[in-house]
Amino acid sequence: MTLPSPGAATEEGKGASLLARRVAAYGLGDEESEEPGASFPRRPLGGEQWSDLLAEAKSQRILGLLWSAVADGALAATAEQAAQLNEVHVDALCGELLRERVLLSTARLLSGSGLDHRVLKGPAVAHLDYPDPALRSFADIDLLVRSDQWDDAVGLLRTARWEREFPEPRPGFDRRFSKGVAFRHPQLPAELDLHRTLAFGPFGLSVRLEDLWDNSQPLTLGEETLQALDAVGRFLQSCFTAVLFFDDPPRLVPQRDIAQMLLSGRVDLDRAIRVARSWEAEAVLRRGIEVAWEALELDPSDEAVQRIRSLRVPPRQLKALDVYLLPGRSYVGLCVAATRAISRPSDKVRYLSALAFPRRDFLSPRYASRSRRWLVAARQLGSGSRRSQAASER
Amino acid sequence: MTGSEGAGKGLAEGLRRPPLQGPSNDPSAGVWVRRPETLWRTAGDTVALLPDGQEARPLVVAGSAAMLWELLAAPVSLGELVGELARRYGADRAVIERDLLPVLEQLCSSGAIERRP
Repeated sequence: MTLPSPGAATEEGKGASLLARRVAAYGLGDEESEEPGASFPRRPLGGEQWSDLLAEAKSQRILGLLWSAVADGALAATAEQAAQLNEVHVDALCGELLRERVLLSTARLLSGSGLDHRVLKGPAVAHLDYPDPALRSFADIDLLVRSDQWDDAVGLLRTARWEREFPEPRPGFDRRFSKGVAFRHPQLPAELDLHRTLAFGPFGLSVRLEDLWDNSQPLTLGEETLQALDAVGRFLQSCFTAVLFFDDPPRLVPQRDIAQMLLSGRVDLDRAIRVARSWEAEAVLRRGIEVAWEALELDPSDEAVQRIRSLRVPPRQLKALDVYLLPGRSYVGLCVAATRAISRPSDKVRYLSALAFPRRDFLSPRYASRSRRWLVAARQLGSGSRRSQAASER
Repeated sequence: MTGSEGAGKGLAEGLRRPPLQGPSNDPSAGVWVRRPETLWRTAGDTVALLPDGQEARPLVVAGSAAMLWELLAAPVSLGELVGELARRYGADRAVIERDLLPVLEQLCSSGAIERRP
């Protein structure tokens, strides 16, 4: 059984223009290139093309890379375009500084109550994996907390006026099964994603959570030192983010992160493969490399890439990956697939009953009534099974 | 100054001169240095700074701010700063000092840097 060819049946990178993808790849492997930026147009873009690229760079979180390509002279720009880019980029940097300040105060809040945490994604990757954090944009803050401290962490955040975006389906559901919860604050300029594991659905439930806590890397912001995932953890998380999306196609930035980390040589590949295997996530690792290398048009002959692409992936993982990637995938299908990753029968029952009979305040933002929700679920399951059958017949 | 107001301007342009802060009003006394809790990013010659306690709007300094910020990584006297910037820009020391003082004062009053005895 082989993985589907990248881009064939999935939406990774969909909508990203060729030029945006080349911006996302800017600076990778430059030491081997005779002419960095040779893939860019020689002349400044026209007004409309430039506006499109600027808007795309913002939404794909690659503004810093675009700024760098223009500042280096690799991507031609008029003086007016360069000034506009500088303004937008500096504004984005200001936003990132504000988010880092929120991160520090939130981390201090958790530490003050004896709650462990790890910094995930944007700020950690920007400071630990890029030569200059200004190259790696981010728009929210992500913190991992321990399952057994989950309820305390959520309670503490609520006392600090952080508000959950969605309520919990049933008490105790989040600390056992959830990927995490998004919070907003009425006064602070950041969204906070509190994580328990790295993904929603079956791959998130098979992550060995203790691995996320056994190793860490210090992250210094200002005069404070927080703890982030170690290089292997950050690398695998980037693969999860690039591959296991649900609602919206992932941005180019996790794909750049994957390439940035792997090509830096700082990821212990043997360990990354061992950890992915223990999480039953070789499919995610392999798929992450494939989508990143295809989207960024990188050299597929790289030894580390070859090694990961040659990984044998168990069929069970491929089926689980389909649940995330097939067109028309459904929330219900992911929930059903997730039960296969829950080992204890009593937990399976808890998981399914919480989702089947959630609290009313969980339903109200999404469905008009409980019966309406059942109807939607039945339709999703029906169309999902037909699609799975068609895919397997293909 | 926030956002990109300062982009492309000189070192001191656009900054209001606040009263001098610190142990002495003589800016040549003591040394200047970044406050370690200040968060920052650079973009070419522009530096965005977020001092501790400043939750609303980062300070953006344009012109030659990136070089100044680099020099302020370790404690440095006004004379050393002026000398180094004059050397790098090939400019007159008096001109550099005139431009530099209001910037140092502004950075100090915002809490981004401090003057130590």
